[in-house]
Order: sequence, then C-alpha cells, then structure tokens
Amino acid sequence: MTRDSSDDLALLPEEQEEELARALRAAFAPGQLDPAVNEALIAAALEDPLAPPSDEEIAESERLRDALEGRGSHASADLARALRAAAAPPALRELDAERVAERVLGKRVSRRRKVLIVAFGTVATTTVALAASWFLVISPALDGGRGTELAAQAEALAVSRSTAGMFSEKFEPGATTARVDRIALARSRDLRSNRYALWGVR
Amino acid sequence: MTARRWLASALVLLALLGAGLTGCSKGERSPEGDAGLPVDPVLLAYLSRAKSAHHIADRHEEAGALDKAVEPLQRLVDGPAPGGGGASAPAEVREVMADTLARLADLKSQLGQHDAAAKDVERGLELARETTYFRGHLFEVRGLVDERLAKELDAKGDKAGAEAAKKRALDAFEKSMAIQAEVIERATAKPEAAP
Repeated sequence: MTRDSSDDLALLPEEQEEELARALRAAFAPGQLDPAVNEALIAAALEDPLAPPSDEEIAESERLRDALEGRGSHASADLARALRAAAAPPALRELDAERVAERVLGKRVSRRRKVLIVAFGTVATTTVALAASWFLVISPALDGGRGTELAAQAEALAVSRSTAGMFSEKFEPGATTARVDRIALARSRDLRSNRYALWGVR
Repeated sequence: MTARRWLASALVLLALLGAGLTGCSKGERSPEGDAGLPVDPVLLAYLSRAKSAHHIADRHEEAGALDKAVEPLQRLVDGPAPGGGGASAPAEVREVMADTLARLADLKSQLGQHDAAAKDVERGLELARETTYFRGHLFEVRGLVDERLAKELDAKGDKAGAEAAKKRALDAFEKSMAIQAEVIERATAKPEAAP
C-alpha cells in the first residue's frame, strides 16, 4: 500500500470510530465481564452439549482433520500449528542447519534437489553432511564452476571443534573462569563470522 | 536417471556415512567425537551460561563461601546442554563441562565431600577423553582430591586408608604429568595459533 492510497482512505463514521476505540481499549485492557453476560455466553456455548453433531459440524470437522493432515486449509488448523510451534518449537540447531544447507546449495535449487535435502535433512548432522557432500563432490561434477563457488562459501563457516589448541600451557588452578571466558569469546566471534558468511557479507 | 546421477547419489550416501566430511570447514579437523556442526546460537547460549556460572562461583569463592560456589556450577553440569552434554555433545561443551567438573571436584574436596569430588572427576574424564590439558587437569585435581582425603584419614587415625589415598594421589599426579608432557610435545611438533 502506498502513502497516497492510505491518504485516500475515508474517515470512519463517529459511531464506528467509538466502537473501534472501545474494542481496542477492551483488547488492550479488558474490563470485568458482566456476570449476566457471562452466564448468557456459557448457556449459549453449552446449549445441548450432548446433541449429535450437525451435518455442518461433521463437514467442518472433516475439513479440519484434512487440513491438520496436510490436505487443504482451515483457519483452526493454522491456529493449531501456531499453538504447537509456540508450545514446542522445533530445535534451533536443525533450523540453522537447514538454513545453512539452503544457503550453501543456493536459492535456485530445483524441486528435485529440495526433495533430496528434506529426505536426508531432518537430522541436522545429516543435512550438513549432505550439503558438504554436494558442494565437495557432486556439484562440481555436475555444474563445473558452481561447485567451486559453493565450496568457497562453505569454507567460510566455522564449525564446532575442540578448544584444546587455544591453550598453550598447562591449566593453572583457579583459572577456570578465565578459560571459559576465552572459549566463549572465541566462539562468539565464530558465530558472528558465520552470520556474515550466510548473509554473503565478507 | 542417468548413470552420472546414480554415481552422484552413491557419492551422497558415501559422504553421509563418512561423518568426518562435516568437519572439514575452516581447515581444522574435529577431534574424536566432535559433532562438527557450524557454530550456532545454541552453543553460544551454553557457553554464556557457563561463563555466568563461573563468575558467580568466583564471587562466592572470594567470599569464602565454597558451598555457595558449588551451586551454580552444579546447575551448569546438571542442566541442559547442546547434544545432551554427553559424549556426543560438541567439543566445546564437553571441554567446558569437563573443566567445570574439575573445579566442582576441587571445591567439594575442600568441603570434605570426597566421594562426590571423585565422582565429578570420573564424569569429567568420560567427557575429556582426548589427550589435552583438560584431561591432564582432571588427573591433577584427582591427585588433589586424594591428597586431601589422605590427610583427613590420617588425622582420624586411619593409617592404611591414608596410605592408599596417598598412593592414588601420586598415581594421579604422575598420570597428569604424562598427559601434560604429551600435549606439550604435540604442541611443539605442530604449533596451533591461539585465537
């Protein structure tokens, strides 16, 4: 929407504006519900709870079931997925790994290749292994110069590795905190570097 | 599917079986058991938690409250960690946890909790299996733990127990020295730049 088109919007009538303001206030700071209204709402919701479902309710429930199983769409299915994602979000590491794989394989990857990635990519390690094998072995064989470019991108990613090489002297008693500080600092640099690499900023 | 694509698929499977392939980035090979995944925010969150735990422990230790110093460190080693915090965890997690367990063992030993201290050392050694300063340090702490135990047993009149603990302490210190020497030899042969 452009600025010009938003300027063209008509003003609400005074009653609608008041209604909207009330709705916004109620959403922001809901007040106490009138007990009589509350009773009426409960009665309406529980009207004959043991009655058999209507044809409309059956059709709606089937549509919801299909949507939950990935066939078609339903507003309640979207809500259910959102609630599930909020309650049990997928592992960050896996998402990161998939993003890394997508980045490494390029955005113009074909549907066939994406299917291959998903099939092998539900486990983060597998995804990264696939990405690595793709750019190191297969892609160069199929695409020529593209493989070299992808390999160069992946080279930029710092991976988890031993910190033993960071310490050149035996550990002194009472210096554990300093060592942990040093490890955290080094890996925070690695993470920043990985982000830049994934953004293509080098 | 063409013969070339079949070959490509076979190479994918071979690559998947070869876990070492994932650890090739940035020219540094991962040690045994290293997950080799890109450094991510989850790893950083764990390291940040570890950093905070050790700083809190420092404050308590400076105030002479060793029992309070144990608490944040215990929460760290018993809390959530990338890869579960066990043998399959990222190398950094295992090493920080091993170092933390060494510190915990030292503190508990000073508090007279010798059995708990010994268990922490054993747990740390399970995590730091490679020949590194982390492993050497754990043997050094094991020596200290047994040395303190020996003094306590001696004071209680348990001469045999004290002698056994002294021997274990000496063995642990010897083992620590051997590991440290091996690490130094390796570092001298192939120096690594410290970040």
